[in-house]
Amino acid sequence: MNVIRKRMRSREETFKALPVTNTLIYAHNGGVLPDAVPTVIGLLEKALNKHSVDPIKKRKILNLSIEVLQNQVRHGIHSDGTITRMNNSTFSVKKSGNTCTITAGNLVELSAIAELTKTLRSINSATKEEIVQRYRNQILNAHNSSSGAGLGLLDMRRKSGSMITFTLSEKSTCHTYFQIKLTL
Amino acid sequence: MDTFTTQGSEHTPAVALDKEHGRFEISGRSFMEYPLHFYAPVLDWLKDYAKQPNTTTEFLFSFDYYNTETGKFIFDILSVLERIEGSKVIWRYADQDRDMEEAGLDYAELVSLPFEFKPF
Repeated sequence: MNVIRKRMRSREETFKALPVTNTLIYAHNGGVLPDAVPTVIGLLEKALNKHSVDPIKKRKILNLSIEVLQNQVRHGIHSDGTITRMNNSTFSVKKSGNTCTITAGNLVELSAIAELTKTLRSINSATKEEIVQRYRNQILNAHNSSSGAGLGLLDMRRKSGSMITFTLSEKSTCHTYFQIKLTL
Repeated sequence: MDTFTTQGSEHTPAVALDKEHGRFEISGRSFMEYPLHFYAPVLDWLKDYAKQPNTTTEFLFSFDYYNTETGKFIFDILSVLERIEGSKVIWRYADQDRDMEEAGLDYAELVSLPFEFKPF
């Protein structure tokens, strides 16, 4: 019995001594319908609890995940409305030490790329103070037709406290795979 | 004036608007995809209340978190409160939740209303 306990302790110590690696907390493939976002957030919250993520960081992750998922819902479905297009969406949350990353990808129309890239580059190059000011301006003009453009992205940049990493890879003559990564 | 109350859910906040008892509160999580359906009746009640308000109105916001779409409607509620004499905002947030504190500071900057920040 003592030998077994000693072996178990030895394994635990070995495990603790291993270098910190990425831990996948949550992931899914395929698009989420608008009504299913609360379910996904509920599952993510359970997974974050299981991994003992700090409560304040947990709120931040949940809040940012909502923005990311609702962005996918808004921009990943409506144009052609097909399941095929939705099925190309991905979403994951990983943890490495004290750092968490949220990664999401979905198809977007080629015609939207220029504006999207311009918005993201502008947000990434802005100072913290500029981001706050832009965010406030957007809230002030909240119900103007174009006011929604970029508010979610501004929120992501502001709350994550780091640049929004993004990649674009052409998938067809009319769609590009767009992926963003938030590190917090 | 009738009271307006709704129970909170996993993605909608609890609302309690009670003129008689001077209770005006929104609390919990708010991340509906289309918050207009949820907040339109709240705004209607508040606009009605603004016609004959109490001498003081302390409106409590106590969110765990909310999405940017909800943020627009919080601003709308504050804009109505701005027109009610004797209004004050109590912005309650989890201690060390810098994001929620900053959100309150944004609104305090955008509207002419006294804000009291209450970390818990």
